[in-house]
Amino acid sequence: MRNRFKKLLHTTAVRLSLRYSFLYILIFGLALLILYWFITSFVQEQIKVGLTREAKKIETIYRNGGITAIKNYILSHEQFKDQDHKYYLLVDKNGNVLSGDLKEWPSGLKTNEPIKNVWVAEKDIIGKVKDGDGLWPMLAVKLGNSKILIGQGIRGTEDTRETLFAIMAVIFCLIVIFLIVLGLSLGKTILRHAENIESACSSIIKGNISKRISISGRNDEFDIIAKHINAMLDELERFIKQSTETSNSIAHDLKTPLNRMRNRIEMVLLGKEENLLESFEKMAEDTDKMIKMINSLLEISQIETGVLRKNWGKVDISVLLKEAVDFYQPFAEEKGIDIIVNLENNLFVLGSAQLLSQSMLNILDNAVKYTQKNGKISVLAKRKNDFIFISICDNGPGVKEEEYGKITQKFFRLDKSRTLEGNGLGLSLVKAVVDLHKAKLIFKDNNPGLCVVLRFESNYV
Amino acid sequence: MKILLIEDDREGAKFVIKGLSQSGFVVDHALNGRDGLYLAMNNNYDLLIVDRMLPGVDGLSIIKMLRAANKNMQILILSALGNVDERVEGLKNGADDYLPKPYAFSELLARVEALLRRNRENPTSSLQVGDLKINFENYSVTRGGKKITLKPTEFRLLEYLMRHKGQVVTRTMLLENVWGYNFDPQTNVVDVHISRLRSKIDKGFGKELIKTVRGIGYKIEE
Repeated sequence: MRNRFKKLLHTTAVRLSLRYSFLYILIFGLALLILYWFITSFVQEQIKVGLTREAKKIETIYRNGGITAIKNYILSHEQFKDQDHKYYLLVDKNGNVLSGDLKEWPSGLKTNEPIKNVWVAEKDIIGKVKDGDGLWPMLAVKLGNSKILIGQGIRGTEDTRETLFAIMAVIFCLIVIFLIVLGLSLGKTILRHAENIESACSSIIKGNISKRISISGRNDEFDIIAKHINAMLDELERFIKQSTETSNSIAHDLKTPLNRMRNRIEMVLLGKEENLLESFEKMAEDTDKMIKMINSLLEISQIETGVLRKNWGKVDISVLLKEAVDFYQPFAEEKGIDIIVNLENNLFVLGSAQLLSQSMLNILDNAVKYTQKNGKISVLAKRKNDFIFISICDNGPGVKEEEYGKITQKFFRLDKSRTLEGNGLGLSLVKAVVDLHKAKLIFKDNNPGLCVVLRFESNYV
Repeated sequence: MKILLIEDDREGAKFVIKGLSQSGFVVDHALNGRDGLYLAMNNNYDLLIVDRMLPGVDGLSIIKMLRAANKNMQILILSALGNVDERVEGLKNGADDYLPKPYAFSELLARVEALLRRNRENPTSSLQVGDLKINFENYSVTRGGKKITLKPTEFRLLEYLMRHKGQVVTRTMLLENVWGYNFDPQTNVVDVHISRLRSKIDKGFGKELIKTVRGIGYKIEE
């Protein structure tokens, strides 16, 4: 539990949200302070305006009714004190109190001066105390020989200020709490997703390569990542399976001739072999076969990595195909197979003549091998739209459609072809070469037989 | 005939030197590129057999420097770098032949002999082995005065064999020189072509001229 909380604190979401909360709190706090300052200075201003107007009003009353009118005004104001918190003190020239709410004239307050903040203690006030100790804004006005002061009790404004401050503090705290909770819950969500991926990955690391990350179905960014990782794992698993199969096949295909050689050598060593020369010839053939297989494998993997694109040139594939057919013609004739050729001229592609020739030879080789005696092979090359098509079709036993994908795999051999010579790498090379040339390899049913079609984009017109 | 072998693999070199010496060649050996270049510059060899990846100076640089110094001995590259591009690169830089590793010694010997033969080769208007004759003036082939009609491929095959009269030529050499294929096809179609050629030039003429050399290739001789 503690561990998990520690982990949670370390999530990017939590760290980010805490970082931004802090920033937000700073900015918001500053904004609140400014607001607070504005409000209080607004209130101060209002007080000043109120005091000045009050002074004018009192001067007018004095002009019209003298000191008596002022006394009456002060008396009549008594009942409004609770609302406007205004206080008065009228004194004669000797400083004797004539009327008002304070016990004595505050020292330092002079008439005809701007508004001044004066300390007023509770004990200085006559009557019910409403506005306790504090700095009161005051203004003094001279009325003939007497003078009057008007003061603004600040308990009211002070209350407002405190309420405002309290409200702001509460909002501030709520926001901080909200941000932290938001950050933690975000972090928790992310952590849950991350742990989902993590547990799948650690299971895979432990060797369970078939394990996949579960997908929530919400199609959010975590689903997208999970789908990508799963697709990557699928590909990886396929690749691992394939390379295991390949290395098994290599081992198997090497073991057979090696065993044969070993037996032959034994016979020679035991002196049981009469025809030494023939025995050695057979062994040479076996080694040649093994070298050939390894060379083919190396070549295919080299082609697959695409390192062979330098030294490419403009190649007329109809010429290459014609040469390939000429090369295989005697072999086909021996089996009584007819090769029907129909080639358009000048079919240029950008590529490697050697690799393309080799591919065509491999396809022809299969066609001749799998076609029965007196069969027929048709070879066709033509341009159609933006493509150049080469097709080599036989009327042999053909390949089942569900096996089209398998016949280009390394070492894959159809059951019926196990007895024939070959290493199961021919079409793998064709596929690699075709991919290298960004062409397409298509298999079709020739009813009966197999059609192998190569489709090149025509680079040259 | 003097041959210089520049090869850093001691065991491999020992094997090649032994084989070539037994075939009557004089072989010098350099273990690195710098020594090899020095020997090649200061001696007159008929043939240089050079590995591509060498300590000191690499094989291709040696060839370039020798060609720049107008040394025109035959040069054969032996290399583990054997794909089409690397081969083309080697030949472009002045090598006369390219043999990828691993190779059979017989293949190397056949190529060495073919290269050394090339030196002495004169442009001829005809080739002859026993009573078999190619006349290049009218591209005709006769045996014992009797005209033989050959297809173009068969003609090129016979011409190559006859230019290397008495020498073993391997299937790979035939593929390279007659068809221009730098790879081994899945099936040994070369054998079929040879048997076709035999049926035309040997069948019914008593003495067989084209001989099979077990496990290696063919040769034509009287």
